[in-house]
Amino acid sequence: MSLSVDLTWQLGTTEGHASFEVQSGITVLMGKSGAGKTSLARTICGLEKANGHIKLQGRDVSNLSPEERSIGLVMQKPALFPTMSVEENIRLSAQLQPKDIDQLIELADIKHLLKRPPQNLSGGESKRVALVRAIAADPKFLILDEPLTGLDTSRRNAMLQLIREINRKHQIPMLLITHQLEEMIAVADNAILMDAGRTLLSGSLTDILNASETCEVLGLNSTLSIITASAAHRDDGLLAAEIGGQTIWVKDEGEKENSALTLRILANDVALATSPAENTSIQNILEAEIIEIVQAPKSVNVQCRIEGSSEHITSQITERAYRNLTLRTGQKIYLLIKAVAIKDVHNN
Amino acid sequence: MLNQTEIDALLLSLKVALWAIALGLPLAVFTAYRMARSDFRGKFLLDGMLHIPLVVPPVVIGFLLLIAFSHNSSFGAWLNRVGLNPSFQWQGAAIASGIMAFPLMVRSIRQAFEAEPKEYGEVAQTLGLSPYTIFRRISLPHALPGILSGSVLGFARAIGEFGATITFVANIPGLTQTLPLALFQAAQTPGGEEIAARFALLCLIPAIGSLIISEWLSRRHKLRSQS
Repeated sequence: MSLSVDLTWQLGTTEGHASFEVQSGITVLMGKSGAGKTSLARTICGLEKANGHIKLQGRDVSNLSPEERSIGLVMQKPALFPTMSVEENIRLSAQLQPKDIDQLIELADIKHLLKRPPQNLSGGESKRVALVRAIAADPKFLILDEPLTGLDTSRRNAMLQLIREINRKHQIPMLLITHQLEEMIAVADNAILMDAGRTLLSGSLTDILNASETCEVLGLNSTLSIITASAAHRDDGLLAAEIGGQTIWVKDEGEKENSALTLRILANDVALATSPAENTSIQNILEAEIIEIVQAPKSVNVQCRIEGSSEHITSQITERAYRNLTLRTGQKIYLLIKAVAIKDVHNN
Repeated sequence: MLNQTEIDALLLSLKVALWAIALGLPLAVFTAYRMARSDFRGKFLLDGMLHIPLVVPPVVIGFLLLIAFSHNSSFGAWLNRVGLNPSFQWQGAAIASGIMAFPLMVRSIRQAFEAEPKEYGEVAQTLGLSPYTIFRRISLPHALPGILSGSVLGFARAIGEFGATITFVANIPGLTQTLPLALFQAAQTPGGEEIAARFALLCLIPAIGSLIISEWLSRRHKLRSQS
């Protein structure tokens, strides 16, 4: 267990409460603006007082000062020290070996910025420098607060790529705070849902995205499914991707062939059929097996596993459709998804 | 050209003011930093006490120093025994000037520390930096223009100090007679108006020069904060 949190703290006029455990990899902390995400991050870092326990790799750090906790924080505002150059900012608290820092600088593509004062950096550059500075201090856990805010699409993707690369190379568990769900799910392994100062759910990204609470809290029309597929070839403006030996067609947005795609599918864009549909405009007809059926007040969520893979897709159907199809768990089913309803989250 | 009395008074004033700042500045920086960054019991009281030299007549401060360092006080008696009593010495003038300049220095330096965004200190903590390193490498350089500005203001105040100095160390030519004290003596002497005017001019030059430097540093700091 990387980080275990069980805290209560003063959040404005109310009391915040957080209870969750975070494994290695990247965990995204989701919630609307004002849910208390930043306040929770500050509390975990020791910048705000709290009652309870924070265990980092089994060691209780709740009573330690922020500088003793080994929990790094990249704030929404990069807070680079203005009286130092970029290089001095990075080296001031560096604990990594110089060659590792040099590699980190190369990876983040900030070598040409090292001699500059932070005031002369763009928003994206400042965020990259702040991330490198935090990693160079060799924390055991890193929290990134809204790392994509203020960046345009291409810079957001570059930043996400950098976060993922750093996480993979340095094996530092990360907690990403966001209210922009779709961008973060591209890199997250696990998720925590927070609302009104309380953590509601924590678990794998798929489980959290399939939970009805997630839709309510984030104001989504339908639950989301995230699947990964491998881009194969192009045809007529569409891109064919392979998943479990089946082909899934998505809009061609210039992705490289053989690259991994992270696809987002809304549950109410997925129709079900008990036999393969013929003569239909729908491009994707995937064989699947029903794993779970969850009845919601006005609809039914049917979670299915794509045949030949471990990826799950959820379909949201009406109660009437559910009754007519007489669905049951373990049943073989066909998922009907329009190509245009599938989004590659890297190309929002 | 300046005569020997004027040169003596000018040099003594500069020596007294420089020592006043040299002695008071480290304490002023420490006090300003604590006041800007920490909440502690009695902060309000300390804040009020720091401003006493600004609100009470300087003569009162000089009188209190006289009592504290007198032969009758145990502290004064001990200083006498070790040969360090500053009463009626230029060192005493430096202490009196330093005390009078202290609140001005603290106010200016405290504002500079308070102008530093709190995120810098917080991020530095999460980077594992100790409070001392944060102070030395982040807060101090950031507040440097404010510290310089406060020092210059304090210097101007110290060089113009009169009431506390004359009460504590008297007006002894060549020993404790700074520019304001020499001006006072000349003004009290019949026909001494011309001499007094020359001392007045001498007093104005370092004081106005200090204010101009202080204002320049303050503007530079503002520009840097905005960038």
